[in-house]
Parts: sequence; structure tokens; C-alpha cells
Amino acid sequence: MDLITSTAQALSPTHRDTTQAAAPAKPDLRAGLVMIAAMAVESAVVRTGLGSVLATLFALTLCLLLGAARGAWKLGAVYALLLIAQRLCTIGGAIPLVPFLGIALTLVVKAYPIYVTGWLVFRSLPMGEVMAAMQKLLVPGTLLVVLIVVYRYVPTLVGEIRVIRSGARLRHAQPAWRRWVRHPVTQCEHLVVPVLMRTGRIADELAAVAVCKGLDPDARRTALVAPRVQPVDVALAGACVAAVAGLKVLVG
Amino acid sequence: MGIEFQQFRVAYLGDDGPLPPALEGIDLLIPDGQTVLLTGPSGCGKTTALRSINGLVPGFHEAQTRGGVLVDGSPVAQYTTAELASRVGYVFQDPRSEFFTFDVRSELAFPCENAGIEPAEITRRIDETAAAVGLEHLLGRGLARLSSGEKQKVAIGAALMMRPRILLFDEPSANLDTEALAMLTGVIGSLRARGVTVVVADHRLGYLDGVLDRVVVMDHGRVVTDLGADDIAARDAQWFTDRGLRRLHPPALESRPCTGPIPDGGLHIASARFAHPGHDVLWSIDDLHLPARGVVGVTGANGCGKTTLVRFVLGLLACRGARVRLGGSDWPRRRRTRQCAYVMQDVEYQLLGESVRAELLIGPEPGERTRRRADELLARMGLDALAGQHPLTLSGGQKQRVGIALACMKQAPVICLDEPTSGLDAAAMRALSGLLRQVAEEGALVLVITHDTEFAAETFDHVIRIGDRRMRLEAVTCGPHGGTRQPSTERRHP
Repeated sequence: MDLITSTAQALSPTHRDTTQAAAPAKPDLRAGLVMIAAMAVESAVVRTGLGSVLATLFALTLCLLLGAARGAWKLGAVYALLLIAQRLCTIGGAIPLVPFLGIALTLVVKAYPIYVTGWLVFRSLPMGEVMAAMQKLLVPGTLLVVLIVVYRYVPTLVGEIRVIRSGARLRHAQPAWRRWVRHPVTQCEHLVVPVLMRTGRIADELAAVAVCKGLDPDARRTALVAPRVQPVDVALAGACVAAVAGLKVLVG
Repeated sequence: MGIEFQQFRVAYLGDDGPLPPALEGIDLLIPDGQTVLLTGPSGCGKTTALRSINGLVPGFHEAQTRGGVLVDGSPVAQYTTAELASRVGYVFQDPRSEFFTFDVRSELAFPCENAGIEPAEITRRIDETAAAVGLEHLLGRGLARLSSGEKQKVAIGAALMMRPRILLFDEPSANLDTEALAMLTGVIGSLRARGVTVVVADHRLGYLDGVLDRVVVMDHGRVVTDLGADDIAARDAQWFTDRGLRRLHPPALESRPCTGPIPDGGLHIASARFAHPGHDVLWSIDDLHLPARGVVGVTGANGCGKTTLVRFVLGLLACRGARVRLGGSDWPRRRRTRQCAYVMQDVEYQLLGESVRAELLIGPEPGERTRRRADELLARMGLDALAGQHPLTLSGGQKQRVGIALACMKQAPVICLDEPTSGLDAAAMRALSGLLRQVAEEGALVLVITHDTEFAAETFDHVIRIGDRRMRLEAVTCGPHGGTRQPSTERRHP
């Protein structure tokens, strides 16, 4: 490797010390799953609106504590808008179709603490740690590979849809809202066809990449950063469980 | 030992039986430590040859094969996935979809983790590889935010992590700037010095000058020419053109600052500045005049903001306080999006129709005039024979022509293209060059992002050079065949 190194040093003027302490991301996947499960229980057992709001605020506070302030404010703002829209739907219940919208919004608002917690857990969890943590949870190899491909694919899909939409915006003479109002089926088709096209291709490419990089369901893997359940993880998971229990007792 | 093709024939399996063969029984022996370029026109079988070496054909892409491929003396089929992965590294064609993880460090670690290598050793290898490829400054970054050239560097780094004895590159130069190409040449050179066998499949050859041992030219699944490096160096430019190849010594894109003023009536951008959220200013424009018609290149190092500039012009991206005027009147963002046209690097994202003809009719106001215009464009672009075909069944060059036809349907005053020559062979590249010049003659400003100097020198009148966070418009001084060419706008305004 010396030759390569020397070539590269001649070519790249920037040197930086890359030896960083490899600290696992927080929360750990296993603690995170407990937190998400706790919030799922909350949305099922806590009946009052106040309880749901408090649970969401609790999850947002955790985001702030773990240094995800930007995302926390955004999620919070979206939540506030959803709550307002839901209230408006309750008031305008006599107008046709509005009750259906209200029901949909209620479902979203009720499950919001789960979304926030899910985002908090998965927002910056490196793939290697997810895989290692799942291996420790004794997830079978084949299932693990499938889950990982899905996990890898979701953000890709979001990116693909974004590219396709910007392409469509440039393509058409009419603004998007008018197109969607006039020809909703055609518009849907024009979004879905390229997405499906790309999905098929990406699935193929990802699988080929996995094969080339030696991902083997039956082999023992190591992890560059070994995920560890540390006191902070126990504390976070415990706090979530305690908060849900507290909400049920106090305002449930 | 090395790699040995023995009468190897491959026919991919389609929905109804085998397709015409991609490889027609090739015999090829690549000894250990040789650096070989596989080249030839699109569809000549070079990618298939690479895939057969690392077992993707027929192990992954279903195909009928005859004969065999040996790696280090044993048939490829006899190796397990893990064994092959540790022997043969592969750098994929499309750096966007070859990553399995989300950040650079994990991506480098991934193949080693799969092989069960201890974390301390992985860390050591990451540092070594990062230094070798020049990606130390990228280690902590997410992959999504990297420019395509940076992604390519990470891809090469990841392929080196297992310290393979054989390294395969599938069109590695597609998205790289001059500096990154020099990095690639350096890496290939040092791999060669260490005795690693390197097989590169590519259309561009210029960057490999000096590090190659051998060039294998393929056509229709056969090896047509097999030359040593000295033989290749002795051939003149015409020899390459005759075989449908890119040139070994592509002309440099020479330009000088514009002398006379750009005539009014073109695009004018004032006081625009762009920064990624939470980052320093990437580029700023105080005052930039572009001609109303002509082909204008956008060049600059990987990650300098070429794509963001084009997205800004297209109105997909807002810069606060920026003013854009076209032909003397204001041209606000939303109107730009409605009027401009964009041919993406991957045209597939833009193809929605059931046939090429139907494709052209999506978007503009329906009517007799639109239909007539579509037929006219199909005839002019040589697409009329394909009008009934599904757009996704076309070849790369043909899809791109459909993309340009779509832009012409819109009669856009500004048409932007992103890296249009990646994956195009010499013939398709020349055809594209001619087509763009023709579109520009008809009165459109064509903005083209490219790193391909051979294409640039043949096509551009002007070039926007991005450097030091600034944009400069310069007039191109080299012509299609190395002679001097007067840029069209200067002819009008001496």
C-alpha cells in the first residue's frame, strides 16, 4: 500500500487526522426499538388528547436533548399544523368529506409520538451498527439481508421521487396543481411508472452490489463500530417506558 | 495465472428465451499484473466481459454461457461469493446506486465487515485507503451529499478495501473532472506497480495513457484488435476514429476571457449566491451575461457547484435576492421552470410514455400543432423509425436523443444538459455534438455540464468556468479538429 499512499500524497494536498474515537450512535438500536414500542403502547392505551400531546412533547424533548434540534423544531411545527387542521375538521364536521379528512388526521396525530421517536432512532444510525445490533438480537441471516435492503432502499426511493417530480415540473406547461386537479389518474401514472422502473433497476443493482461486496447471509460479520447498550441507552428506554406509564396514570 | 477466457460465449436470457449473444466465444488471457483496457462501441460486450470475471454473469444476471472463465486457474463458478469478493474488486458504472450504506466510513468498512475482519484492522485499512484515493476529508460525510466525482472516489476506495489481486473498473471516468481523472490514473498506476491486475472497460482512453500495458478493442461480442501499449501509442488520431473509438490524446478545452461584450438579448444573472444549508457560500455571481443562442459549457472541479448553477437557472432552486433577465425583461423563478428544459444525466427518469411518439406529446398543450411538431422533430432527429417503440427499450444514445427532442418540443429558450456524454461511444458523442449545435443554431441557449474535454472542444462556443467560488464566461478558441474557430457571437460583434 506504500506506493499507493505515496502517489496519493503527491496528488492530494489536504491531510487530516482521521483517527476518531469510534463511538456508537445513540440511542442504540435495541434501546431505540424499546422506545418506539413504548410510544406505540402509548398511542393505544392513552385515550385523552392531552396525553397524546404530552407524549409528543416528550419525544420532541428527547430529540432536543440528543442534539437533533433542527429536526425537532420542524417536526414540532408540522405537529402543531396537524393539530390545528384536526381541530378545524372537528368544527366543520357538517361539510361533506371533511369528517373523513378529520379521521385521517386523528390517526396521524395519535401516532405522531411513534413517528418522532422512530425518526430519532433511525435518523443517523449507520448501517453497520443496525446490522450488528440485529445480529445480536439473533435475527436470522436471510431476514437480516432483506430488512437491510429495505432499510437502504427507503431513502433512495424518496430521492428518486424527488428527481422524478422535478423532471415533471420542468416538462409540463401547466402548474402541478392544475395537472393534478384535471387529470389525477394520468398524473399518478406519470409518477408511478418511472418510480417502478427505477425501483426494479435499483433493486437489481443493490443486490449485485451486495454480492460483489461479499454480503453472505450465513457468514459471521464483524462491525467496525460495535453497538453497545450503555447507561444512556437504558436511561432513554427507561424514561420512555416511565413517561408512558406516568401519562396513563395521570391523564390517561 | 491471471484471468483466462476460454471460448467464452454469453447470451443473456430475455423473457422469451436467450437474446442475441453479448459475447461470441472470446479467447483472452490476461496475465497477473497486467493493466488492460477493454474498449469498443456501446454494446460491444465489454461490460459483460467484466461481469463474467467477477461471477455476476451468469451467477446474477441470468444468461446462457458456453466455454469458461478462469480466475487464478480455477473456474469462476467454483468460487464462493466471499472468495470472489476478496479476490476481485469491482467499481460499478453508476456511482449513485453502488453504495450499500449511508456514510463514507461505513461504506469502506462494509466489505471487510462481511468478510469478518477485526475492527482494528478495518480502521487501519480505512486510513490507508483514504490516503491512497485522497478521500480523507470525506470520511465523516454522508454519501447522499457528495458530488458524483466524490462518490466515484469512495467507490474506488471501497473496492480497494479487500486488497484484491484483481480490480475491475466499469466506465470509471464517466463523472470525473480533470483532477479526479489524474487521481484515477495515479491509483491505477500504483496498483500496476504493485502487481495488481487491472481491467478497465471504458470509452474514454486519454486518461489511461502511460499506465496501460494493453488495449483490447471489442465489437459485437468479439475481440477485433489486441495491441500492446507501444503499438497503441504509435497510432494516429485517424486510426481511433476509424474504429469508432475516442482519441488517445483528446484536445484540451482552450478558452480565453471574452473580449467584446456579449450582445444583449441573452440571459443575464445578477447578484446570485448559493450555499448549502449550514455551509459556506458555494458560488456567487455578481453579473453574468450569457448569449441568447449557442452551446455554453459549464466546467469546474467536482463539487464546485455546476449542478446547483443549472438548477438555479432552471428555477428548481431559489437564491434570495438574485435577479435573472432574459432578453431584457425579468424572468422569475417559476416562469423559468415552466419555460426551460432539462435533459437529465439519466434520461430514464424523464421517460413516461408508452411509445416514443406518445412521449413527445406528454407535457405541451395537446392539439394538431403539437402533433405536427412532434412528427417533424422525430424525422429530424432520426427517431421516426423508433416512433412506435417503448422509450425504455432504446439504447443509451437513443434515449438521450428522445430527451433532447422533448426539450425541443417545449421550444425552450434555455436547455440544460447534465453530463450528456457519460456512457456514449465516439459515434454517439459526435452525433450528440452535432445535434446540440443544430439546436443552438435554431435559437436556443444550450447549457451543458461536462468534464469531457474531447466533447467540449468539439461542441462549445463559450464556457462558464467555475473556480474560487466565482463564474467566468470565456470564449472557446479550439475548433472541432484542433484548428481555431471563431465563436459565433464574436463574429457578430468583432
